[in-house]
Amino acid sequence: MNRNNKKKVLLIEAAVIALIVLVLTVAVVVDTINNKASVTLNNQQAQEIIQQSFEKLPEPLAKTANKVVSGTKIDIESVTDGAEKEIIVSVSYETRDVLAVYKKNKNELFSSAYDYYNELKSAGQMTSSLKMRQQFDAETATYWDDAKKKSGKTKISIYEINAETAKGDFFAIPYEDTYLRVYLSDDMINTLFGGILSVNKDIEQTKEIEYNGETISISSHNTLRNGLSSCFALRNFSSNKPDTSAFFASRWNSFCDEFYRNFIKDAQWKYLANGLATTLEITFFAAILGVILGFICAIVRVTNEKTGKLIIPDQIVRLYLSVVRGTPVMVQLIIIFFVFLLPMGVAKFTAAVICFAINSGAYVAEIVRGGIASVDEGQTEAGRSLGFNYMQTMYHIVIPQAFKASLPALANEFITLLKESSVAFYIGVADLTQGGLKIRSITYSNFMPLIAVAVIYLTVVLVLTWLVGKLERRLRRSER
Amino acid sequence: MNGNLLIRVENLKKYYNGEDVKALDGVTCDIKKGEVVVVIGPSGSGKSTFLRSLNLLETPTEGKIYFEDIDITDKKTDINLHRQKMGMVFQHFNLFPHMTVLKNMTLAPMKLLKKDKAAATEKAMELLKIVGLDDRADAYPNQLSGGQKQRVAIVRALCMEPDVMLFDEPTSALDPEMVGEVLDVMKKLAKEGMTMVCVTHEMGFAREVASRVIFMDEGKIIEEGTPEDIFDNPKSERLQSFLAKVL
Repeated sequence: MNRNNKKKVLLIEAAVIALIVLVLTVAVVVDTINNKASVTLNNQQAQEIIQQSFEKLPEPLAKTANKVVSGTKIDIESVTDGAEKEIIVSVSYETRDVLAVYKKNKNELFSSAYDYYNELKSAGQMTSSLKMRQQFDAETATYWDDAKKKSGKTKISIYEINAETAKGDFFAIPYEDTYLRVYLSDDMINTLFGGILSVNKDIEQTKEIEYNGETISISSHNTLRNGLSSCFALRNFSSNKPDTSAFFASRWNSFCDEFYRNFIKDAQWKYLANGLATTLEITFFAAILGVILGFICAIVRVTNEKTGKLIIPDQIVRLYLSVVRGTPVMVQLIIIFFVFLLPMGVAKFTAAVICFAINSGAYVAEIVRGGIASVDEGQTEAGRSLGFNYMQTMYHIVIPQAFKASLPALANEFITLLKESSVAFYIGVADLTQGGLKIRSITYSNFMPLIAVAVIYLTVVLVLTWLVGKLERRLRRSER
Repeated sequence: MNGNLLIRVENLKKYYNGEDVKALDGVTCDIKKGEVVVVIGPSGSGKSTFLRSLNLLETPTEGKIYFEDIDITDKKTDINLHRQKMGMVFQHFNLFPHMTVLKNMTLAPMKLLKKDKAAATEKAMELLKIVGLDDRADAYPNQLSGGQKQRVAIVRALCMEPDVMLFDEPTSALDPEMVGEVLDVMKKLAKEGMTMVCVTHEMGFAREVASRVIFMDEGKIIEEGTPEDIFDNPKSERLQSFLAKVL
């Protein structure tokens, strides 16, 4: 029966793991296929697509855009169709600014505009007509800074502007009658790019194109008399259909990025590894001390029950059991550490071991007491009739059998202990939980470090369960 | 005291719940060296309590037990030392399931008599050979049949080289076809001159082996005598009705 149940549990675990592996595999495969199947556009095609998307813009804006782009030779070596490629076209005025950026796996997308703005600002060249720019850039810069802080490495998708309906991944809100403020959203970060679309009536411009092999910039000097800046971005220039494979691929890429940022970078995984070692050490020592303590308490209680001796120790044990079992482990930890051990100068690690040993001992005592009670009275009688005294009978005959009987419950107790040791972070012990929190405080990520902590705990618990199962089977075999 | 006397029981009483249940109500008897005493009686008559009192597995409420001229009911007596000389065999064998047959037998001699492993093992194997189980020395109790278990239990007690063997219904938990093998061992033991006190329902065994039969009822010894006296010539009414039921 029991074995069948275990088989079932194992099957379910295997199924869950298999499912996770399958999903990840599919994501990788889809990503690969998607990359292979993507279309490479030549310059002319890219230009056409940009033109096409301009046609979808509201009339005045399209005009401006056309004015900016038409006649511009977009020297794009190859633009691949897919979510990772992007063309951002922006038009600003009075500044020599980056207008269009094609970028592949580069971080510096917005920095040129922003840096240039800062340059102007520090040089005192900012005029009153730059007010709007200032607002726009300041906001963009904030988002950009946040984005950089949050992800370190940012991917910007290509967005299609449809200012009239404001569909897609961006949203637009009317701004001061004439202007439309546009925010673009990204998979990971809410707003990546903000801008203002405006009607630009009177613009004079000269354009420059820079291409350095990977990045193409279309820059322009705009001299604007009556209008204001406009900026817009293009997305997904060959297809308007949502691309699920791209979605998975981008998820997978974000996953990889996140993984890198949280664990690989600066060898941050060491926080987890060292934390795990500390957790295991605490659990190990606490379990050993707890078992010793628990056995002593159980023997005191059983001896008192059977012989009526040891009344005072029995009362002490009862008090200990009810106090430990009736208060939260967290409270015990902070009391034992801050009230008793800290003034004595005991190290945090030792304090944690002592606290969890005291805590676990109480539970072990009850488990072992149950185990001793489960050993047939005849065993004691047989031992006594051979001439063993009470303690010898306990030691040679009853305890070994009681231990075997209570092994599954003891194993559960140790597993509980392992998990409960996570509160040790509260007194500043650098355990596994603390390791996860440390990474979180560095990267501002919640998902990766916390899930990693959970997965590690789960893995250790599964391994322990498996080991105990093996031990149990071996003990059982010895009786047959 | 008579040099031949092994156990003297004087006015032994065992009450439960104050005086509600009188399991033993004043039992007095002597057991001499080399005697095979069989205790019979209806269930609830106190015969098991009597036997278990002899090595103080039951603490008597009143009365005295002298074993080899020492009052073992005296609190100052170390009962553990005397139990070493009183082997006991239980109805339910009570072998230690976590040890092999050999370990079951050598544990007490090694720990209590401080025998070395080789000597204890030699003695154990010798005894196992006598009961025909020397090939099962490394088996665990769960691998043995009931009869085999009880034979091991007997030789486990014998390993301590006791002066008396106490049998508490040794065949009651056995399948009928296994009763014989256990009784054979007990007979062999009796022939070798072992002092034995045996609570049993095996009247045939009592008649064949016993040097004295004690009939108990309601915590008292009603009648005692040779098997011939008891079985062929019962005097009291209660013994007569008991024998009428069991024979």
